Amino acid sequence: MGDCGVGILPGAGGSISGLVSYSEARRASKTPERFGQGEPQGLQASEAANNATVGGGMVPTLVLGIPGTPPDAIILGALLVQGVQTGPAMFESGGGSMVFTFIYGLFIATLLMLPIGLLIGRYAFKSIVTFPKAVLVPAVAFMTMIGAFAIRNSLSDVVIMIALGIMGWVLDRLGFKPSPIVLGLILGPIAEQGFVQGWMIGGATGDPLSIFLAGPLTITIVVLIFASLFFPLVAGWLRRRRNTEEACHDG
Amino acid sequence: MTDEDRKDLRGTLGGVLFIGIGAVCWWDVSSVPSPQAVVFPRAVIGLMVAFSAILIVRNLLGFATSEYTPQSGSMLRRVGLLVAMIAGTFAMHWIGFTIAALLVYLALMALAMYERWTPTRCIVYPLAGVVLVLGFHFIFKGLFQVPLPEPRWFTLPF
Repeated sequence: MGDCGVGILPGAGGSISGLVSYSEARRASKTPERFGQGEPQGLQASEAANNATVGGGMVPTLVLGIPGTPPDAIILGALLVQGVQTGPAMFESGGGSMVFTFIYGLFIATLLMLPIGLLIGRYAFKSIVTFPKAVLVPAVAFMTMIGAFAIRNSLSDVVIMIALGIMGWVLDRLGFKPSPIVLGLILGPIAEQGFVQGWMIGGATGDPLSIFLAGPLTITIVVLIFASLFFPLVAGWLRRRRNTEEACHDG
Repeated sequence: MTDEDRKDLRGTLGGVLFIGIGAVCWWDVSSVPSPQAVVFPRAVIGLMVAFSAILIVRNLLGFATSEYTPQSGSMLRRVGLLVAMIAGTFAMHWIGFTIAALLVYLALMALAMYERWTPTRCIVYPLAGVVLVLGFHFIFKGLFQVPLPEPRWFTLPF
C-alpha cells in the first residue's frame, strides 16, 4: 500500500519505492544482518514495491499528465501521439472508457504475472545466478561508466560516480548501509521543494513552522516519520527485554 | 556480544566523518545569498550532526549494536577494479571512450575470473566484451547521438 502511494508521487518510481521497502524490511526484520547477502525478505520487499508502483504511477499520469514512473512517461507519450488528452476530461469522455481500459489491463497483467513469472522465472533466474562473473562484472562496470557519461556527456560525472562508489564502500565498511543514503539523495530534491513551498506558505501567515502541523494529513505524516524513526529502538528494547526475561527464566 | 562490539569503533569513526561532512556543508551553504534557500540544507545538516553526535555518545557509553558485517572476497581484486576503472576514465581523453572501455572490460574480466581459463572461455568471454562495447558504441553514438570522446591521435574506422 505504501509503495503504491510512492508510485502516486510524480517523478518517484520503482527505484525509490524499492529502496524504501528494502530499508523498512531491514529495519523491521529480526535478522537485519542477513540483508545484503541474498536474504529472501529483502528481495521480496524491493520487488513487491517495484510492482506496486506500476498502478500508483498511473494516477498522476492519467489525472495530472505527469508521469509517475519511467514506463508511464512512454505511455503518456503514446497517448499524446494518438491525440488523447490526459486529465479530468479523459475521465469524462466516453464514460471514462479509456481509464477503465487501463484499470482492467493492469488487473489482467497482474493476474498473468503469476503463471508467466513461475514459468519464465524458473529458467531466467537460474541463468542469471549461473552467469559467469568474468562477463557480468565488466559488463556492469561498463554500463555504469557509459550511463554516468551519457547524462551530461561529461567524463567528470564518471569520476564522480567512481568516487561516490568508493565512499559508499567505505561507509558500508564502517557499518552505514548505502540504501538510506541513496534514498536521501533521490528524495532530497523532492523533499526540499515541498519544504520550501510549505515554508513560504507558512511564512505568509507569520509562522512558517505552523503549516507543517496545520492539518490531519501533515500530522499523520509527522507521526509516521517519528514511528518509523523510533520503531527499531522500541523493537530492539523489547527484544532485549524478552531475551533477558527468557535468560532469567531458564536460569 | 564483545566489549568491542558495544563500543563500535567503526560506527564512531563514521559518526565523526558525518560531523566533518556536516561542518564543511554548513560552511559551504553560508555563501548562499538567499536566506530561504539555506533553511532546508541547514535543517538536514543539523539533523545529521545531531544524530551523529547521539551515535557517538551511545557508542562511548557502550550501548552500541554494530551494523558491521564481515565481508568475504579479495581486497586485491577490489583495488584492481578501482584502478582499472579510474585509469580507463582518464585514458578516455587520449584513446577515446570505446577503446578505453574495451581495455577496462578486458582488465576487469581478467580480475573477475574465478574459473579456469579454457580455450572456449578464452574466445567467448573477450568476444562478448567486444560485442557489448561496440554494440553500446553504435547505440549511443548513432541512435542516441551521444558525443562519445574520440581518440586524440587517430580516427576510428567506425
